[in-house]
Amino acid sequence: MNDTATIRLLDSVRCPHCWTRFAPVDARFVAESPALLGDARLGDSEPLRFAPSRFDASGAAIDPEGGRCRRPACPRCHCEIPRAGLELATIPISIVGAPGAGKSTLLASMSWSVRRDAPRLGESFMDSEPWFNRSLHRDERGLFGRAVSLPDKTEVGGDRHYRISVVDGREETVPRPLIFTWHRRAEGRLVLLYDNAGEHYLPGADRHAVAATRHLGHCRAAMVVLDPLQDRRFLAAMPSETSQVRSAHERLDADSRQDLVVAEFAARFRDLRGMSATAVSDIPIEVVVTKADLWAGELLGDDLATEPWQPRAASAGDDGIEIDQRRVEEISTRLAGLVRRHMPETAALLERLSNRVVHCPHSALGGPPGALGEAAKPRWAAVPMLQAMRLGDGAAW
Amino acid sequence: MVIVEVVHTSAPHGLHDRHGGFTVVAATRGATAPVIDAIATLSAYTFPPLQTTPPILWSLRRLRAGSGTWSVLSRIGACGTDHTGRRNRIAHHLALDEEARRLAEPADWLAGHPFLVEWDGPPRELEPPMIPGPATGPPEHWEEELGDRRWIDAIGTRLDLLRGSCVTVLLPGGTDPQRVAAAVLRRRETAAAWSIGFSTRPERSSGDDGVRLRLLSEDDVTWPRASIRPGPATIDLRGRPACPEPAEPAEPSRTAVRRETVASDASRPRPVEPPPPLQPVPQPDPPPMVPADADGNVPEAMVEYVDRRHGLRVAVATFLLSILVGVASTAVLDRTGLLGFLP
Repeated sequence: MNDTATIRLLDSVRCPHCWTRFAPVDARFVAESPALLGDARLGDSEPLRFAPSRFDASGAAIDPEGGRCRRPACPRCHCEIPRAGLELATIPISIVGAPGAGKSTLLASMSWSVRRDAPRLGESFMDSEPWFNRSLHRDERGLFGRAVSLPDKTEVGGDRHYRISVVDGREETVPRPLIFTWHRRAEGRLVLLYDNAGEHYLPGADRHAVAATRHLGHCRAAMVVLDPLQDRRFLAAMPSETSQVRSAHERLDADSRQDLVVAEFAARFRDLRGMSATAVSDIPIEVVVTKADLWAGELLGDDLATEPWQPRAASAGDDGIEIDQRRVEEISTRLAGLVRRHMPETAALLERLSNRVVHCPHSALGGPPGALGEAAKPRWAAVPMLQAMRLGDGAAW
Repeated sequence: MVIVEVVHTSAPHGLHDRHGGFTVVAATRGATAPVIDAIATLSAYTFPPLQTTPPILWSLRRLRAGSGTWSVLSRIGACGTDHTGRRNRIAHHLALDEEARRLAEPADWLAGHPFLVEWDGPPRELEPPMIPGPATGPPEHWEEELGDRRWIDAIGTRLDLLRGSCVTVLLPGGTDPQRVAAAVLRRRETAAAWSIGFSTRPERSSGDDGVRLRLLSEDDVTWPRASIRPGPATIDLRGRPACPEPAEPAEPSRTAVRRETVASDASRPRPVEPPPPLQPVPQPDPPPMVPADADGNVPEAMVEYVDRRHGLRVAVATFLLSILVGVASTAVLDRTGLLGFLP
C-alpha cells in the first residue's frame, strides 16, 4: 500500500502559536529555495511563507523558485507547524509557576522519563519533529547527559521560547510550544507543552507577557508547579537536616508569594476563556509539587523510591507495565491534604477554578541540584506528564 | 529631551516588584513604568553551551513605547550566577528620544557610555546619564577592527545600495562587533547614524525594530548558521577576504570624505578582484523575488507567471510579425498590380 495514500488530514487545524483555526488546504509552506529569504510577518532572516499551487508526486509543495517544501506554516502568523499537526488532534498543556519554581527542570525530567517509560506502558512518546524541541534537548543533556548543567532561566523574551509575528500591522508575541507525538491504543495525539518564564505570571506583568500566555485560554490541561522551598509554611514542615533545606531557610524571601502567581493564572484563565467570576471549569488542573526527595518520605509517608508501575495484566511474558492507579490516587489525596494545610489560599483558588484538580509529587533529579548526569535518579518523573496527557485527552485517570 | 536607562537582570528583588527573577534592578529616575517595561522586553539572551565563551550582544533598535519612538542602545552579556545559582545575564539599555538623539551620535554613546557588566546590590534609581561630548568618540584603531578599514566603507556602501533591506555581515573570530558598528555609524551624519539600527543577533526583537545591519560574529555559537544565506545582502568576512574597490554610495556621506583620504594613499594595495560584491546586483525577475503580499499569499498562479509571461512575449511577437507580413504582402500586391484581382 502506498504510504502517502493513508494520510488523513483533519477538517480544521488550530495553530499552536496564534490559535487561529484554518483548513489544512489553507496552510502556507516554508520556502526552501535559498533566494526566497525574508518573510513579511516573521522578518528578513526567515524563509518566505507561501501559498502553494504546485505539488510534486510525494505531496511536497513547490516554491516559486522550484524548491521542494515540506514544512507547513500557519496562514495567519506564519509560524511553522509540524506536519503531524495537520493530521492529529492536539492536547495543549500549559505549565504555570513562579520564577525559580523549577518548571524547565521539571519539563526536561518529565520528557526524558516519559520517552523512556512509555514503550513499557504500551505507548510511544516522541518528538514530533526534533527541531521544534531543540531547547528542551539541551536541557535534557544538561540534566542526564554529559553536559551536567541545570537548565538556564527561561527568558521573558527572545527567540528561544517566543516568536514575534506582525499580523495586520500589529506585533504579536507568540509562544513556541514543545511538540510531541503520543501514540496510545492505536490513536495518535499531538501534545503541546507551553513553558513560559515564571515572570510572565507575576501580577502586573506587561502586555507582552499576557500575550505570551494566551495558551491558557486553549489548554486542555494545566500543570501548576509549586516549589515547597519558596513557601515558608511548607518549608517549616519539612525535615531540615539537608543542606538544601537549610539554605532555603536562609534564602527564603518573606515577600515570596506563590499564591499571587496562582491567582494571576486563575484570573487570566477565566478571562481568556470568558468564564464568569464564579464559574468552575472542567479543564483538569494538576498541581505538581517539586523537590519531593526532600519531603515526601516525611510528609507523605512514601519516599517515592519506587515508581507507581505494576505488571500489565494483558502482557504476560514480557516486561509490560501499567500505572498503579490506586497508589497514584492515594498519593494525590495525601498531597492535596498537605497543600490544603500549608498553602490553603492556593488550594482554595485552584479548587474554585476547576472541578478536576489532582496532585502529584515530583523529583526531577532525586537529589540535590548537583546530582546530575549519571547521579540523577528522578522519582515519579514521568507521572505528572502521563497524568496530564490522559486527563487532557478526556480519559479517566 | 528624555534619556532612559534600564538595567534588567535576574535578582532577588526588582526596583518596582518584590518577586525575584528577571526584573528591572535600575532605571532612570522619573521614567514611566510602561516605557521601562517596553525597554526591558529587549533583554533576551541565549546562553551558549558551558564550554564556550558567552557572547556580548550589542544593538541599536527602534522601539515604540509611550507616546514616542525611542532609539535603544543595548549591551547584553553573561554575568556569573544569580541568587538561585543559575547562569545570569545583564541587559543594560539606553533609550533616547528624538531630541536626545540630536545631542550625540550612537558611536559616541557606544564608545563613551559605561555599560554595566554586572549588578551587585539593591535595586536603585539612576540619575540621567552624562551625554558624551564631541571629544568622546570611537578610538581611531576601531576602524581597523576588520583588518582593512576599507571594509567599513564597503559595509556603509552596501547599506546605501540596499536601502530598505537588512545587510548581514559575518565577522571573523576575534572581531568585536561593537567596534565595527561604531566605526560604520561614525561615518554618517548624526540623524542618518541613528536611523541605521544594528544588532549582533539574526532575529528581530520586534516587528519594526529598525535593524538594517546585522553583525554576526564567528565566535558566537548561538546564532543559527542555516538562517544565513548568500546573496547581495550578506557580506561574509569570516575568511578575512581582501577588500575590493568600494563603489560610490548612493548619496554623499562622511564616508566620501574619508574615502578620498584613503584613495590618495599610494601604498594602498590595488584590489585583485573586480568589485562584484559592491556593485548593485542585477535583480532577478521580480515575481519570484517578490512573490508574496503581506499575507504571504503568492499572487494567483504565481508559480506559472514566468511561463505565462514568456508566452505573452511570443504572442506579441507573432502578432507584430503577422502585421508586418500583411503590410508587406499588400505593398507587393499593390506594386505588381495583382491587388486588383483580389475580390
